[in-house]
Amino acid sequence: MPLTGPRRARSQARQGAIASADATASSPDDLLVLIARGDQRAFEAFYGQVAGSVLGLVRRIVRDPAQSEEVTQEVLVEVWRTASRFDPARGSARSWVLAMAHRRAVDRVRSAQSAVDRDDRAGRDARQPAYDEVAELVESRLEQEQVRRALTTLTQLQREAVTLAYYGGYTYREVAELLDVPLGTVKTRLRDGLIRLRDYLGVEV
Amino acid sequence: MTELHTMTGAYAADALPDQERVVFEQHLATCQTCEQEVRELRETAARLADAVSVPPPAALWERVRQDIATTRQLPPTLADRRARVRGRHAWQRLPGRLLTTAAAALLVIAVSLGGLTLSLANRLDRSTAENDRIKAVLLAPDVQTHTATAAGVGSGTVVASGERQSAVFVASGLRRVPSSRTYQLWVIDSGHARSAGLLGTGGQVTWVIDSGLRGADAVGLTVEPRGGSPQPTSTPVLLVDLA
Repeated sequence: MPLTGPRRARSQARQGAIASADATASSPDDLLVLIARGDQRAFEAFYGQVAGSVLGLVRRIVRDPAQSEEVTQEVLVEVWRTASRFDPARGSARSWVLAMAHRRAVDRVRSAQSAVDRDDRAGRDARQPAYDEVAELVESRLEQEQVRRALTTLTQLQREAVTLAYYGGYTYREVAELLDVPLGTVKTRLRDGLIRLRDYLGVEV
Repeated sequence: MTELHTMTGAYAADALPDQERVVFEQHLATCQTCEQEVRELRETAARLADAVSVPPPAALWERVRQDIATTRQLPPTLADRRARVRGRHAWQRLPGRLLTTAAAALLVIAVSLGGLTLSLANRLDRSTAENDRIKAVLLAPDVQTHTATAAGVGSGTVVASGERQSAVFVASGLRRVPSSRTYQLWVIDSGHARSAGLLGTGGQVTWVIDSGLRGADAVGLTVEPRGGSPQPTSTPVLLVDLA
């Protein structure tokens, strides 16, 4: 049930004060609570904290810069629209947004792909950048030394599987095909690869 | 289905095809161990994204800012509000958890089928009675998911409760038919078709099938004249096998 006029105005004024004092210092999780109530300044602060990662991730998958920006825009507007549905018990705001970004980016690639597939299998070849190209892009631009180091602690197969799936936007079935290994192996490598990264990076939730 | 536990990594990396994601998410709603692991691995994946961060162009913020000025925000759902009132982990308790799980399962299926989130979220807000029916299916202890795709038509998923008392049919991107026609859903049992409802001219569809499913072989979709037909007038354009 929406707040009534005066109550809403008071509550927005109060949130405005909170946001202007703390917005840039607040965590994405805290900002989302304010965003859910329509706080645009909180949203701007949130944007500042996540837009770079969203765009970077989307660009890995979509490649085309203009389309990547479109997807990023969609994702951030979706954050604004659905902020009230974010459930902190299921993970951090950051992982929520980035999961959404990954999904949208993959959807964009797949829908472009299905248009091609209708003609022929040509689409399959068009989408064969292969591991080297993806890896090179990623390796050359990894900005966080720590993550780069973490990736080097993986076995080659773990690294290839994680990189192709996450940065490449491939399904594990496609990864299995690209790397010519059994499906079960890819599933397992994705899991133990991510677990290794989690432990190396000291990720806690 | 112990094999499901090994899918946490593929799920967290968003590497499961749509149908498998729906199945895994059903499992996730009932497996605390997997749920915790997925949460951790998704946080880890987020770190991978941070590592490839690029500075967004200033014009992008301008476009986003303009968009949100005209974008209406979704109100919190009842389940969300209950959960917030009870605190961070309150959703793990009943009945808040039931509601949250149902809503999450719905959204999850919606997302996985592409772009259905909005229509389902609207339904959640709009129609409590229908929500209850959808929830009743999704929360059944042994739901099963069956998916079929037909080239040039679209794909449909039947989420059926174990006892097959009822099911939810979800489709997205169904090819539009002219307004003089309609999609009609049928429950097919030993070659006999029984109408389960008229689904309109395509696009996104969520439909509860609440009878005649026990022992049924398949759920099929035909294109019929507007108003529907007592029996299918053509072979199904999409057939979801329930075996």
